[in-house]
Amino acid sequence: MEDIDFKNLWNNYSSNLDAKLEINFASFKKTNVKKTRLHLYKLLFQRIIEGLLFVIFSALLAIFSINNYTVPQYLISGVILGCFSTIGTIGTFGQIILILRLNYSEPVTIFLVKLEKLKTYSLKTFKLLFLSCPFYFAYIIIGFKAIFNFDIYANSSSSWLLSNLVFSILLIPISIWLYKKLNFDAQSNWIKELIANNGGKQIDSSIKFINEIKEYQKKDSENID
Amino acid sequence: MEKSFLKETETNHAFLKIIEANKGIIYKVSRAYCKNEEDRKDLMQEIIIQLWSSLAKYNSQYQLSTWIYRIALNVSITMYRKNITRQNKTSQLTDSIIYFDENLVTEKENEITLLYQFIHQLKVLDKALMLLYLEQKSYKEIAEILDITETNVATKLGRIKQNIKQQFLAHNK
Repeated sequence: MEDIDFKNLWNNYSSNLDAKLEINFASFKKTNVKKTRLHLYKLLFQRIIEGLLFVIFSALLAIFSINNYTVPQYLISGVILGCFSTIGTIGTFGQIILILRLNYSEPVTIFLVKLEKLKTYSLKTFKLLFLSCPFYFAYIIIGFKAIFNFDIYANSSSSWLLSNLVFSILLIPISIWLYKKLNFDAQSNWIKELIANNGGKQIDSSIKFINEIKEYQKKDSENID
Repeated sequence: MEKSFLKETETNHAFLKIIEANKGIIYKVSRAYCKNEEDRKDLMQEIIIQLWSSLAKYNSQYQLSTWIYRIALNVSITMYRKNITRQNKTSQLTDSIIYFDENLVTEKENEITLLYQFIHQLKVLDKALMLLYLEQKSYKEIAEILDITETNVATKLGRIKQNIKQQFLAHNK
């Protein structure tokens, strides 16, 4: 079958199709418009819950820091974790705005990449968690105070505190390296595994699809015979 | 109140005219992405509602058909990228907004069914490309709808057409 036959066949089909299709106006009037965005509502709901959790965590840290502003170790720990939490809050609410602004009339590849990137946002939260790893001692200080009302910093030996400081410094390059490695173009198998295991199949599938679209867009001149 | 009601009625009327004039596009895109009839009804409904929701954002710099293709393809790929049937995921529709009269079968129906069968085997973006080609869209328009270069459109179409042609030939042997 020649190229032109495809088009002739399709033209013939298209011209007869209108006669075979009827609009059911009664069914259209009954349609619930909100139903169509169900898949977006699910995404929106996830982000709202995440955003609320970040707001609560940020507020608790702010209260903790204010109540203990005279004790430097509590104030510094509260501010450090508060910064991460605030970044998370801003990022999550930014995502909510992006979901609400998603425009289905955008070009196909642009729209699909935007949508799939929205689905992979949990990966950014995960990266933020990695970046906060060198500050793990702030969690310990606040945790002990909040749960046991015990000042672990004031009651620990200087050698133990020093070893934690050294460990924290060692974690900085590792965290930055992991932060950079965890992205859509991850090449190493173990990084891919890490993403899949921590973000679930949804993120893995979205990343694969984004890469497929990027590949689709760039296969330009290299394929010309 | 009366003014806004009149405006709403006018918009509804204009929208229904758009759907009536472009029902073929909605049906063809849905059929390319859904093998199952119930899923197709569901998809056609989703496309129409998304068209309705996006109407306020319509940019007249684009042709109306370009706008419809973009929305129809974006909804279809979003919902049926993984070739899954959604029958158990959403409520079953009792009525379809666009009704297809099966009794009015054309003489080339078997060839069309075969062509759809080959289109179903393509990857989601290749499906869109082939569909737009069959719909007589120029390479420039296809490039605009998909946001890929015209060279890319030409290269990929050549490969897809060759592939489908071979499948037709193999089938007719």
